[in-house]
Amino acid sequence: MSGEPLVEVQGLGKLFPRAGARARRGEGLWAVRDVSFTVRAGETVALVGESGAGKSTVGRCLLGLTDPTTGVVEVGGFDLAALRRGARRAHRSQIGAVFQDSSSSLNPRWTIERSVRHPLDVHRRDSTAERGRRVRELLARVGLTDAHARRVPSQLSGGERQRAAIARALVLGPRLIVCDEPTSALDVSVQAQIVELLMSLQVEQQVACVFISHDLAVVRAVSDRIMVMRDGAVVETGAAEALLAAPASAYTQELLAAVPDAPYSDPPQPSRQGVPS
Amino acid sequence: MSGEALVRVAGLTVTARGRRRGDDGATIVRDVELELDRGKTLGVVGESGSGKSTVALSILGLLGPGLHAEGSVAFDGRELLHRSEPELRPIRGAEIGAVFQNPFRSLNPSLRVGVQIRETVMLDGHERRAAEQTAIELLGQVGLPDPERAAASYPHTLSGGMQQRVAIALSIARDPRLLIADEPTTALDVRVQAQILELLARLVRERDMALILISHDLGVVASVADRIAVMYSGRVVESGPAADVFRSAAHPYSHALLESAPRLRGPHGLAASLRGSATPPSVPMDGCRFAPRCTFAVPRCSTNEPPLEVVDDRGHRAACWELPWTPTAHGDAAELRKSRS
Amino acid sequence: MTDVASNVRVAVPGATTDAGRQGSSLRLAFADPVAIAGLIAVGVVLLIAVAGPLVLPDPNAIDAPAALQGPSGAHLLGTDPFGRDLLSRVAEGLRTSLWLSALSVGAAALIGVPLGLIAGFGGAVTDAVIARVLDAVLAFPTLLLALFVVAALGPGVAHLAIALALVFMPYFARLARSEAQELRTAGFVEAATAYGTPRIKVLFSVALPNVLPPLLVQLSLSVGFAILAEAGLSFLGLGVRPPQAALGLMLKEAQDYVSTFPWYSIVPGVAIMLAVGSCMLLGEGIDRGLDPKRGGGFRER
Repeated sequence: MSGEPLVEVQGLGKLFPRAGARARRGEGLWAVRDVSFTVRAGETVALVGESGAGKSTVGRCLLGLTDPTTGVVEVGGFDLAALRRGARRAHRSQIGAVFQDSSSSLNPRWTIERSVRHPLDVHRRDSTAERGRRVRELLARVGLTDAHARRVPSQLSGGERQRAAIARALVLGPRLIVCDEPTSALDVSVQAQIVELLMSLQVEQQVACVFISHDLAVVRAVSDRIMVMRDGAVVETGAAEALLAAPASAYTQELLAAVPDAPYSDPPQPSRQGVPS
Repeated sequence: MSGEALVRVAGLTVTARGRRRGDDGATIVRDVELELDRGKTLGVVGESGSGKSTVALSILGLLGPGLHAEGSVAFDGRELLHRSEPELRPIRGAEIGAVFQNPFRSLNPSLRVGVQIRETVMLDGHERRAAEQTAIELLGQVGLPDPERAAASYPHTLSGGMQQRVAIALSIARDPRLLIADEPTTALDVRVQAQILELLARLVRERDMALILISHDLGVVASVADRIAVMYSGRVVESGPAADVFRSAAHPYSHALLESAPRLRGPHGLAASLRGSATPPSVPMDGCRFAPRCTFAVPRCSTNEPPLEVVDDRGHRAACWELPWTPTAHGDAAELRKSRS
Repeated sequence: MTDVASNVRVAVPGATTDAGRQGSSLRLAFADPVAIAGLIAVGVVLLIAVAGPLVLPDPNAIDAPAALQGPSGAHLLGTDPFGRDLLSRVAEGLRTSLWLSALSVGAAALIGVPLGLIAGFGGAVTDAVIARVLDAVLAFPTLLLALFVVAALGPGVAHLAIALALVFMPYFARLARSEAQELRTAGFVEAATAYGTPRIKVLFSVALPNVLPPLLVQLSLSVGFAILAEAGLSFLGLGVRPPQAALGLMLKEAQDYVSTFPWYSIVPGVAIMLAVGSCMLLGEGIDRGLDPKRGGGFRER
């Protein structure tokens, strides 16, 4: 788990200018303020916070979908924002993305196979036959059949779509995946499956993960380290279990106290194999 | 308890009319039975597509066109199903209030909050001045720090949590005896969620109001409900006192659901004890609808559908052929989990 | 652009195991009764326009003794003051109208759609510039603008086509722009950017196919409006010139006979109504068929 530093974020800030105001005057909303962190190869770091905490903006900066206003975001030694267009595009194959809403994150008019294959086509990886093989292999790995591959997203369940999105995120063999609320739209039972899949794939493919979520319980299950954000700034960082067991900041304590934890149940036992009542 | 129930739903079946002729309607909810006493809280738990919201809409008489309900929904001894809109109107709002997931959608964006509540209060024949006063009192009761200012503001200027508080104030404005809250905290942040749940619990206590709380989140339901109904694929598969259902879930689905929930405390990790996804209620199927995903399924499960049967004398019921389940100690539980995985 | 073609192919065949849940989008569209009616109506108009000139008498053949007659065996829809066959002239007029409208609307779409996509996907400055230009064009009443253009260029079929293309272009651009703005933040477009798809490819191969359905509706409606505009301009003498037959021109000529021989006005009037109405019906039908609430498969949300 303690590999080389893969992601280095230094003093990241993002300003969304108020309508009409000029960004350089510093007017508007700082969605992210002076955020610094490191993600090591193969490690999972969770960004936690309530809505508006700026966690998704950090994710978008990592993905190069938003350029930082201040600071540097380096993935694998390169600063996406500083690269020229061609190099930037090539470098993007290092980072995969899984979004919350699987119904919109897959092209509604493309088959699953085409969506998963598209990154390979864009980067002209391998031969055509090889691409097909890689896609089928990966789809099978995430638990989708050839029949699923031929369908369009609206014909799949939310969980199946999210599996496809995970396959797409991994198809280029990235070193980092950014998962923005990947399970928030899913049912509890499906969420558990997807989290399990993500975690096993992450170990298998040795890919680091930035896991963005508002759900502390899910975060606890997936992450090595946790970064709690509030109003764009980092409130607290630490090893997952330690931070959750003994949060240092009042804010984290408050968050933890507010989570209604699911009750425990004794397992049911069928009468035929059970203790006599 | 049986004679006194405020709400009694029995044999409720909702079907969607087929789009083409000759097409049998698709079942959305089947044979649902629920019971709720005055001043108590019933939690309805289920995953998406389990039909929990359809049950709520049936009670409110708000099923859309194309949906057809059969069975019985009795409220305070009066049958609500198949009532005409004018017959329902004096009941809905006045005696049964409703709060939904998205508060902004239940508020009129172009009217000040106070005006909306005032108009609602005035439906009961109160005078304008008095209704205005009541509106401000209601906003105070739902925990808005500055009720006067809130009354003068438009919904979009309030935060999501504030909006939900206003929506709750609106729903209790006519002092209903039953409040139906469908995923009222799902769109909110955890800290706000905790506050809203607390508010709902307080209102139930103070106003002797019954509450039906519908949620996919076991933790949310567990924190407020007296009784629980677990729904799966359009059926109630287990119901009973909250403590009993959560402590010793009798239906394998309820238990697997509890096991799948990520937790903040206790053993680390997530148990993906449910494979695949639920069969939609519209898909016809023999036997228990949970059978394909059930670890305990026996041959009979895939041929005959189990009825909701009594588990114990506290009103705990479950629909499973392999009843009765007997509770075991936690140690056994861990072993069982191990042996299954 | 080969990509675009294959996108369409992917979505069109209901290549599915359960066709009930999601059939082909287009098939769904054309299963709608309104769409079928529209399709039939457009078919009839096209048939008259295309087959008419092949089987009917010469529209310019003058038969003075037979002038201003009602329907008869020799002249199914009667004759005009020169004894020319009205059905032949209507068919000829429809043909002129249809190809002129289709051509100009097609050109409008070809220019407008990419412009709109670029505005919707591009930076704030690009968008602002394009949007203001479009607003400026849209601010003129449609017919008036066409009139100005034809007046400036001089009357004639070619100039009329240019005028119509210019007039209809902003509608396509505006539609494409608003769809693009919505698509721009769609997950699959962002995902495509995130894994390094070049921008131009995102625009035309990822996004464009998703804009096609509403464009189809706009195309159909616009052809209808263009027919009307062409008739109006020809009526004013700014479009097709005699002796070529055009519906607007026929109406103009019929003006003098409104009280003595109203039939002469009714024939081209009804023809215009039919042509425009059928396009509207088809547009409405496609729109209904594509409406997700009615089970259309194009835009699920």
